Amino acid sequence: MAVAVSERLTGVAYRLGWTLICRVPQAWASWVFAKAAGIAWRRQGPGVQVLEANLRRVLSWKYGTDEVDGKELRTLSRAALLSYARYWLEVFRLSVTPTERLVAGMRFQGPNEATLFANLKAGRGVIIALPHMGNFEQAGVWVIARGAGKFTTVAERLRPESVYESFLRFRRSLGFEVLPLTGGGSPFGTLAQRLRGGGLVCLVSDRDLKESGVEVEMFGQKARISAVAALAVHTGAALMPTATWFDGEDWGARIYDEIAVPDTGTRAEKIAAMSQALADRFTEAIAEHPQDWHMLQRVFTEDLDPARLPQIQVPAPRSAAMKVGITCPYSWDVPGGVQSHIRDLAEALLDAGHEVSVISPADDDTPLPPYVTGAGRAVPVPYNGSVARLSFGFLSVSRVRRWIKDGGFDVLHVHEPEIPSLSLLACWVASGPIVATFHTAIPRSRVLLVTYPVVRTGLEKINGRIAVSEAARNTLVEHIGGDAVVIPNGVATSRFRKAEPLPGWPGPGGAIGFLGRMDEPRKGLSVLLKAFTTLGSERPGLRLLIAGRAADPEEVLQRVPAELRDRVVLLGQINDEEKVRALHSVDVFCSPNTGGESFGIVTAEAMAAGVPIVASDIDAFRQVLRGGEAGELFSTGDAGDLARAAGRLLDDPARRAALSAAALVAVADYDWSVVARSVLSVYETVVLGSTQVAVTASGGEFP
Amino acid sequence: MIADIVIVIAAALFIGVYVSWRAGRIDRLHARVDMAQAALDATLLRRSSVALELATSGLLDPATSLLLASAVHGTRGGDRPRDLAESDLTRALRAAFSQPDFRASINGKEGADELLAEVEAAAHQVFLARKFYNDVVAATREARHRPLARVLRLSGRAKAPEFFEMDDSLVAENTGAPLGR
Repeated sequence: MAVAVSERLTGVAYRLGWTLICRVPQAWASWVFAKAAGIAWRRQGPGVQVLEANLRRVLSWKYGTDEVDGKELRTLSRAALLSYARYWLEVFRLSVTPTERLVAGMRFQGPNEATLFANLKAGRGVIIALPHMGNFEQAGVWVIARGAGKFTTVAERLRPESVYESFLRFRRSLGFEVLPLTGGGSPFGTLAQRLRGGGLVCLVSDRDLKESGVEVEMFGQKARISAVAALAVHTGAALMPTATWFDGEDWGARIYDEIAVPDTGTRAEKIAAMSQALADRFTEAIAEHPQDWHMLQRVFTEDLDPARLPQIQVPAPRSAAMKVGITCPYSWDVPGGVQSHIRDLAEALLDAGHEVSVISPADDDTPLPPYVTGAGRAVPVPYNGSVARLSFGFLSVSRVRRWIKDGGFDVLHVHEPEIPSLSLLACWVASGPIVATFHTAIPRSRVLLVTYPVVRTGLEKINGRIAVSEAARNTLVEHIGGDAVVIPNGVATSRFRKAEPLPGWPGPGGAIGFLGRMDEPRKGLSVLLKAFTTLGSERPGLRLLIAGRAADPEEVLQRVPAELRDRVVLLGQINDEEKVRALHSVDVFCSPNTGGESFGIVTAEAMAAGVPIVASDIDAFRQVLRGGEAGELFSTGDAGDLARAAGRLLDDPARRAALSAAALVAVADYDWSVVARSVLSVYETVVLGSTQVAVTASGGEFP
Repeated sequence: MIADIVIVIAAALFIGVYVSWRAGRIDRLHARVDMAQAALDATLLRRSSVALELATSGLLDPATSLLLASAVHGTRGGDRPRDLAESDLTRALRAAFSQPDFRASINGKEGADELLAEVEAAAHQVFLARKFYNDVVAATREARHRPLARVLRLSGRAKAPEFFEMDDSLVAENTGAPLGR
C-alpha cells in the first residue's frame, strides 16, 4: 500500500514538473537543470560513479594507457552530466519545441542520410542502432519529419506506471510506435514484422545485460550490447549504426555505413561479427563525443557485480529454440498455396525466436527473403497431367546435401515429399528427425502404386507426418499407410488487417462479398445469387462483389435477373493483395458453402480483415464463428434465410461493428503463430532421443 | 450395233477394273495404316518400358526417377489422351537428359551406358515410326478424298485414319542440344 502511495506521489510530481518545465521560459529551465547537474556532479552519487567508471575506459582507450588524468575525467564527467541534463530538459520540452526548429537544427555528417531514405523508399526495412548519446528523441522527430513517417522502437517499462504511460502517449503522439520491453511479450516478433514490411526500427542498443545480449569488445573491454544484428540477419533489413550528439545549441548526427550480413558462417557467427562491427562504430562515435555519452549504468563486464556474472557469462540456452530446415518443392517465384504456407510458417517460427532455413527452387535473379536458400532454377516438366516447376537431378541433390550439412538442423521439415522435387531429395539424403507435411489429396491411387517403390525409401525415413486437411490425411492412410496429424493452414491475420478498399467500394447502397470458385457447386454461389435476387430488388444500390475463378463468367451473370446484372461485379481470379482489398471493399461477407469445407480458410481470412460475416451453418463455419458469436449463421442452402440474415446485418451498423470485433478476436485462434505452435509440438516429439539432422553416409540407398 | 455393245462392255469393264483398282489401293492403304499404327504402338510401348526401367534402375536420383515413373504411368491408359500423355513422357525424358552433367553423373555405373543408349534408341524409333505412320495416313486420307472414292464410297465402312500428333523432338528447345548429349 505504501509503495502504491509513494508511486502515485512520484507520478503526480513528475507530471507537475513536466507541465511546469514546459510553461517557464527555456532559459530558466536550462538554469535549473544545469544547477541540478552541478549538484549531482559534486555529490558523486552512485550513478555519477558509474558514469565516471565508464568514461575512464573511454579516456584510457583514447590515450592508450591505464593512467587517466583524474582532473580530465572529472571535467569530462561534468560535461556528460550537463549533456544528460540537457537531454532530459529537451525531452520534457519536446512538446513545446516547434518541429521546424528540431529539423532545422540537425547538423548531419556523411552521405548516409540519403541511403537511409533510399532503402525505405525501396521497401527495405532499416534498423537504426544508437548508443545512449545526445538527444535521440529529437533525432526521432527529425527522421519522421524528414519523410520516414513513423518508426518502431522499444521502451523499458518505468515505475511508476503512470509516468511510463504518459511518456508512451507522448511518444506515440510524435509518431513513434513504442513496444514495451517487458510485460507485453517479446517485441522481437513485432519488430521483425515491421522490418519485413519495409519499416524503420530505431533501437538504443549499447547495453543489454540480459541473456539476449551479445558479448563484444568496446574500448578494448568486454561488454554486452543488444542483439539488433539478429534482427538484421532474420529479416534482411539494413543495419545502420547511428550516433547523435549536441552541437552547440543544435544537434549533430551521423549515420554510419550499413553493416552487411557476412556471406559465410553460422547464424551465431554472423551475429557475433555484426555485433562487433556495431560496437566498433559505437566506440568510434563515443570517442569523438565522450561528453554526450550519458551512460549512468554499468556496461562493461568487468564493472558488473561478480555475483551476477556466472549467469551472464553462460547465457542459459533457450531450450525451446530450434533450428529448423524446411524444404519447398515448388519454385519460390511462382505464387502457390504450398509456397505461401511455407513462407507464413517460416516467419511465424522466426518470430517465435526459432532459427529457420528454407531451401526452394528459384530463379537466380529472384529476390529471396533472407531465410530462403535458392536451389537453382526449377525446370517446367509435365507432372500428373499439368506442368509443374520442379527441381530434380544430381545438381539438386548436391545442393540439398550441402544445405543439410551446413545447416546443422535439429529437425528437417519436408513439404509434399511425394512430389519429384527437393523434398523427396532431402528425405533421400538426410538422416535424423524428419517431419513431412502433405498438402494435397491425390484421388488416383494407381499413380502411387507405380511410383511407390521409387519414393518408399524416402518416405520411410519420415518420423512425423502432418496433413493440412482430412482429405489429405485420408489419401495418406489409404495409399501409403500409416497415419498423420491434421494441422490445418493458418491465417496470416496481420496481412489481412488493413487495406485500401477498391475504388468506389463499398458505395452508398452497401455491398456483399463472395470469394471462391464460382463453378464449384459446393461453394454455394447459387444460394447467394438467389438471395441477392430478393435483396437486390428490395434495396436499390446494393451491390454484389464476386472474386474467384469461373469457367464461364457470363453464365454466372445469367443466373440473376437482367435488371440486377449491372450490380453484380465479377473480379475473376485475383492475387493475394487484391484479395485483401476486396475483403475491405464490402459491408458484409458471405460464405454460403453447402459442404465440403473442412475449415473455411476464406471465411477466416474475411474475419481477419474484420468484415462482418454471414455464413451457412455447416460444422466448419459453426466452429470458426463460435456458434454464431463471431458471425451470423443461416440455415445451409436456404436462400430466403440468407437474404433475411444479410438484410438484418446491412440495416444494423452497430451489430456489424460488434460482429467485426468478435471476429477479430475469434480468428486469433487460427493465426499462424498458433498453428506454428502445433507444428513445433510435432517437432519436439520427433527430436526426442534423436540426433541432429545429418547427411547419410552413402547419400541414400535407392530404390 | 455389235460394235456399240462391245464398246459399252469394254468401257464398263475398263471402268470396273479401274474402280476396283482404286478400291484395292484404298484398302491396301488402310492395311498399311494398320501396320504403321501397330509399329508406332510397339515403339511407344518399348519407349515407355525402357523409360520405366531407367526410372527403377537406381541410376538416377529419386526425384528424376519419380518424374519418369509417373510420366510412364500416364501413358498406360490414364484419363489423359494418349498423344498428350506420350508428349509428357517425351518432355520428362528430355528434362532428365538435359540436366547439366547428366552423363557425367551416371558414367561408370553398372549397365548405365547400355540403358541410356537403349532409351535413346527407343525414343528415336518413336520419332521414325510416327513419321511413317503420319505419311501413310496422309496418303490414305488423300486417296479417300478423291471425288470418285467419295461418290462410290470406295473406302467402305473403314473410318478415316487420324494423324498422331505428339512432341517427340529429340532436341531440347531451350539449349539446342540433342537429347542426352
